[in-house]
Amino acid sequence: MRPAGRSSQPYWKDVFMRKLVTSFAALVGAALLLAPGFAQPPNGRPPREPGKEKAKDYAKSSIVTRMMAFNKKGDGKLTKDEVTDPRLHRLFDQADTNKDGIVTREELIALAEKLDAEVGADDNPRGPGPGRPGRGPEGFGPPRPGEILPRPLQERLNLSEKQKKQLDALQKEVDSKLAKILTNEQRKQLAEMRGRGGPGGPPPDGPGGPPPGGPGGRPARPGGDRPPE
Amino acid sequence: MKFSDRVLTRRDALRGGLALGALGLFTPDMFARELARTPALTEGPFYPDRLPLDTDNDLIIVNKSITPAVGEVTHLTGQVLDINGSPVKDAVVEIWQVDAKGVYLHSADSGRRQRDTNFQGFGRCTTTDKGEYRFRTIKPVAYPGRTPHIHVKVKKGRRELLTTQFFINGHAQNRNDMVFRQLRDPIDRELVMIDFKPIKESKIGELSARFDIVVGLTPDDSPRERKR
Repeated sequence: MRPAGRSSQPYWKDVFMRKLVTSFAALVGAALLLAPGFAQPPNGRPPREPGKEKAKDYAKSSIVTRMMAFNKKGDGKLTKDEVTDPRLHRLFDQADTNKDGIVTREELIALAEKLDAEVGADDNPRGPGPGRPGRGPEGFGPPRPGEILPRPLQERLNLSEKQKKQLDALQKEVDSKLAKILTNEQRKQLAEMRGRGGPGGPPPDGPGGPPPGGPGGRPARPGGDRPPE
Repeated sequence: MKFSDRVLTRRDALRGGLALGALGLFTPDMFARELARTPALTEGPFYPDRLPLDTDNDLIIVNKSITPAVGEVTHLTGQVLDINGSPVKDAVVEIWQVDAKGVYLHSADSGRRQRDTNFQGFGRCTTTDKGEYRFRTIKPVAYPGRTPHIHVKVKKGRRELLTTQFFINGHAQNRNDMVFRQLRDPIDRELVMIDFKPIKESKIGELSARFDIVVGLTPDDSPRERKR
């Protein structure tokens, strides 16, 4: 083990030390990276149980991680004193189902699941709620291109039946004339842009829009569907 | 080559640095902040376009009128704090909300519907040394298509620290509300839901509500209002 005389001994030592230092640093880093993900509940439940995908999801949900972040002792037994943000005490009480003054990871997971179910039950923004047209933040969604008066606005203005009919007729005229002006390509483009609409989505049925079922949807209505003038 | 030179070649330093970086990355999670920031929400279209002459913190009485506003009188109090829990003094808290008929003090809304002229619709309060603010207003009612809510804006000097809305805890309409639903994190939802509690001593059924507001104070936090 002395191929190059005296100096080789410290050289190998150096290499060894170097490797040791860097790999130790890397290990510490990796451990820190992985630690939150592999933190196990105090009862030593294995982190991944087959068929329990959902439980795994909720273990990483915001309620569990953000509430447990207050658990300075790190014993998995969260007390109210530890929750230094009093605005979250209501949530603490909600989680503490057995009312022992201690909130465990399991209780938080259960709460996360429960709250998710409550919200999920109504989580159907696309579905037309009965009597609840899809509205923008303050009652008005953005009007679709060429829309004269969105329906919520019509309601707010208390339009008479006669006025509504007149408006519908005007809307049909606008729609058909707009369709004539735009090329097929442009209509398609418009439809795509509308499809990517943000929260709130497109307004409900535009007043006087074409009957549903026409291919291509509202804005990109093929010329053949044009109502008679 | 000396030992120390070899131990700390650039590559080694890089590796070590990466490992240290990983440590730094997780520090915020390992040492939880004391207070969670109040989430921001849209300003909406009805911040008064013309401010009323009276912009004090009593929205029940306009100027020296003797007729109070219609609605459930609510004493809204709270503190403006930073994420470490330190009070933010001399911040201006502004609130605006619909009157008991659901009409905003805004030409785009009150122009077409009869509003309660005894309700101020908008108010301001400067925080004390303890970061405290106080309003007398009404319990919010629904605006068509919205769940009951109160709009809030917090300013400090010329900077806007936060624009948000808060809601009545447990109100059935919350979960269908387009704005409320933008908060996907249940903890964020919790931070904007407020309890309205009856004041026992009150003979006219007044309510109290507490809304503590936690703001970030770094320059990047100035909210850019989304176009809507």
